[in-house]
Amino acid sequence: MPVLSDTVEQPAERVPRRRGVFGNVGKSILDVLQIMGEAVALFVATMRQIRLSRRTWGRVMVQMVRIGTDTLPLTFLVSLFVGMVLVIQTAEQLEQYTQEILGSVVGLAMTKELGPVIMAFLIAGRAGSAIAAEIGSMNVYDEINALKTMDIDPIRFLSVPRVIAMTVALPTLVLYADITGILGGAVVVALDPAVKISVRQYFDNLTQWVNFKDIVVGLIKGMAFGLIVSVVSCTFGFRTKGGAEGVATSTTAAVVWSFVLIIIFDYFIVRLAILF
Amino acid sequence: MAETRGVSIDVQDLRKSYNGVPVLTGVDLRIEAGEIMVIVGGSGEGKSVLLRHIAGLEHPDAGTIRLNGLDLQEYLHLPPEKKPFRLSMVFQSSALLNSLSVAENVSLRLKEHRTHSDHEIRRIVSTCLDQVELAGTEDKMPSDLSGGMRKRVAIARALAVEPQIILYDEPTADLDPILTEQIGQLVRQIQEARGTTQVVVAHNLTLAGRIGTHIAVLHEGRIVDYQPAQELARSTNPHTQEFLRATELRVESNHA
Repeated sequence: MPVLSDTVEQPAERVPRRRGVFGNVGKSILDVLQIMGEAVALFVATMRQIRLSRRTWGRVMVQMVRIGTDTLPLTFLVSLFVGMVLVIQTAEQLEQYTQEILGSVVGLAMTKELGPVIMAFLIAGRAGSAIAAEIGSMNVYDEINALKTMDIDPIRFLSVPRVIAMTVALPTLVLYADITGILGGAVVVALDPAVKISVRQYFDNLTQWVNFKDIVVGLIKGMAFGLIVSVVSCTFGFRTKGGAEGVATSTTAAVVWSFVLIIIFDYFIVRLAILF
Repeated sequence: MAETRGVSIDVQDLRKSYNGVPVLTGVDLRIEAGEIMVIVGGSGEGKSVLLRHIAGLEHPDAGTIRLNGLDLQEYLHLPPEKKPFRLSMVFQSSALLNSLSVAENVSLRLKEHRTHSDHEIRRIVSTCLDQVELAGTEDKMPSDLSGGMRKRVAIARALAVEPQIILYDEPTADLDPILTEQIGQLVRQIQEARGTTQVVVAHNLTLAGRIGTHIAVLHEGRIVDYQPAQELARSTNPHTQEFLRATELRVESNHA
């Protein structure tokens, strides 16, 4: 039998206190630290939950298709035009000197910087936002709680396949973007009368300057950015609260945080790569 | 499917506040094995919060919950294969995974924990969907189903693991009276067939009276009335009376 009560202690009335400038700054800093802490905790939990089971790999493959294969046409279009723009812009600047270095400019820019960063931005905007929105909706509509009541770990079920898939898919897309961008440059070299070098000269110069290490560093960046985008997107998905508006807020925040972290980590990876 | 029997639930002095606002202010409730306990109360009184505590989805500020004498926290930390009994929950929003088919939703827990062969899982899914009168919907996606069907799939998913406890959060919310009646009958059938302990959070006193073994009235975070279902109408508790009057008014206005 329950203990019945007709009288209930009334909660003391709470008077909301206004925060000053320092209060607001302090709260913002605490919020940022909270999100970073949650992201690190999610990363650690995800790494712990990785199991080499058939079921996990099945889910990874589904995500690989969504993140990787479905993005191929967009990747092709974006990187092709990046390579084309790069050639046309640089060719104009180099007209007074020599256009013979166009191949190395495009090759190094694509493999070392533009390929990884543009692909990471593209994936953050397309797949990262989708992950944050999907997990966010699942959170809002109790689907994650349903998993918990079924003794299914949401990290293992949702986060692990997405993190693995994006960490593997992004470097693959970077390589694809590098090749497409370089080919886009070659198309402009072949067709644009403003470019005074031959396609052969373009590729000779490119192969002379772009070495294996440049490509590997680009792929390592791709892996790191894939990890960052997936962990950030899952973190914001899991911390979503408050219906459709909450999902929208989380999705936007996941993309913004991903962009900022990609740029910050880009610097540190380049710095490390120069050391070795 | 093997016959399952229910387990008891013992809630003692459960308290919970959110951002300093108390929601549960000392809930004491004993639910006997195999009974259907219906928790009623107005909106925002803490019914769903209480249910989520019993499901282990929320951590109380104070108080304990025991399932068959076993502390809930201890139960939650046991690996799934070592849990002495299973608990399922049917959420207000149904909470079906939209990327999975009906059969995949119903069999999710069985597949994840690899407790049954594929053949057995197919049989269990078919039996559970039969029980909720949704045979033949195995390959449909949740988006192809009506609200009532989604709710019944959620019940089939809960049944698939042969739980000893099923918790329902507003199972008839947004459903028409016919579907409400069907869900009520289903809850009754589950109790008769399996003896499962069932806790139903509801607004609908008429339904509560029809399906419940006992009814508990939650007001301002506490149980203010507790009655066998048949005796609820005779309760002298002012909150229960207020609730009963509101229900009568609603019925009258529906008849008018």
